[in-house]
Amino acid sequence: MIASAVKRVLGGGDGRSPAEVDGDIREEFAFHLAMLERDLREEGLAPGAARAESERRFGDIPALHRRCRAEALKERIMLQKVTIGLLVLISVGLLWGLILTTQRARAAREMAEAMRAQSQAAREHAVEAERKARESETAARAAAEKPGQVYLEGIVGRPGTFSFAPGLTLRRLMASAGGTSAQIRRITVTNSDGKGGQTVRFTLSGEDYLKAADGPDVELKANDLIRVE
Amino acid sequence: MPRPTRQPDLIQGTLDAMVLRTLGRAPNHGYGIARAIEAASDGRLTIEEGSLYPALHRLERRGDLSSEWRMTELNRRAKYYALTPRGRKRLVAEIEEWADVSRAVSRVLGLSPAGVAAAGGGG
Repeated sequence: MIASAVKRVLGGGDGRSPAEVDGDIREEFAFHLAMLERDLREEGLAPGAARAESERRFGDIPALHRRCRAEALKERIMLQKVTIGLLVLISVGLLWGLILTTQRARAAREMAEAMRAQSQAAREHAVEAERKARESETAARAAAEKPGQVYLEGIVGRPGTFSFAPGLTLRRLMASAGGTSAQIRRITVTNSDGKGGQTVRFTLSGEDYLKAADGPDVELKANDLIRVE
Repeated sequence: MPRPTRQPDLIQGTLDAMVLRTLGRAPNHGYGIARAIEAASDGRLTIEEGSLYPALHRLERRGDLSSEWRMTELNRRAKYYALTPRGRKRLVAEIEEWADVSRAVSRVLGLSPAGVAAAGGGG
């Protein structure tokens, strides 16, 4: 019973095509009208009148045809409606899925874009920091490498400010400044740390300095202040 | 022309029962069924003949009737309907139901069973 119901639904009733169903209905109606017309003529009606009367008694032929057609194809029509309904549902589902996927993809793309922008900003920030560090390092190195000056005062031929170069020694500086007198008692070398503080680096007695040309000598540093007295 | 121009409306269930009863005697085509109903009711019941066909197609779809195309005595193709075993059971149920309704209506109208039998003409 279930199998026959399934067969009827899947096969669309008795397996006839809609065109065949229409043909059968037309032929069935035509037979009925012809038989009725024949009987009416036998009862004495004129051919034209018999035809008109048979059609009148039969009823609304197009409407009756539609009703018969709907009955014969009911399962098929129902199946078509179910199929259309399912197709609509599937289409809506697919469309919805597509919209969701698109939205998710767009959100992921936007997030990736934001992360990329953030990472780009971080990279730029790092590059900038590195550049600044390099600049400051360069400046520090430049400051460190700056030849600077030394200052000489006291009993010397030509006191004043002299350029400092690595390797400059006390005796060389004295030679540059026109030598010193034989009465010097002491030489004091102090160095400023650039922040206002002063450190006495060493002192040398005049006697020791004057002993001999190859006597004690000391290397000077930039910003040394050499006081000869 | 003795036929009435205004045909009484027949409720669907009644038409189904009359169709099943007619085909219970022998397979027939739609035109034959219409004439048989008319003759059995002594011309009192005439139906809008075309309305017979939606009922036939519905009963066939439900499995109460089977059908086949045959040649008539006038050498013309006609669709013959026959009662299936399911249709036969349905006919019995329809007759019982009609008898119940008929008895109930008769009681309401104050008719005796004999009066009903006389009015209905038997079956």
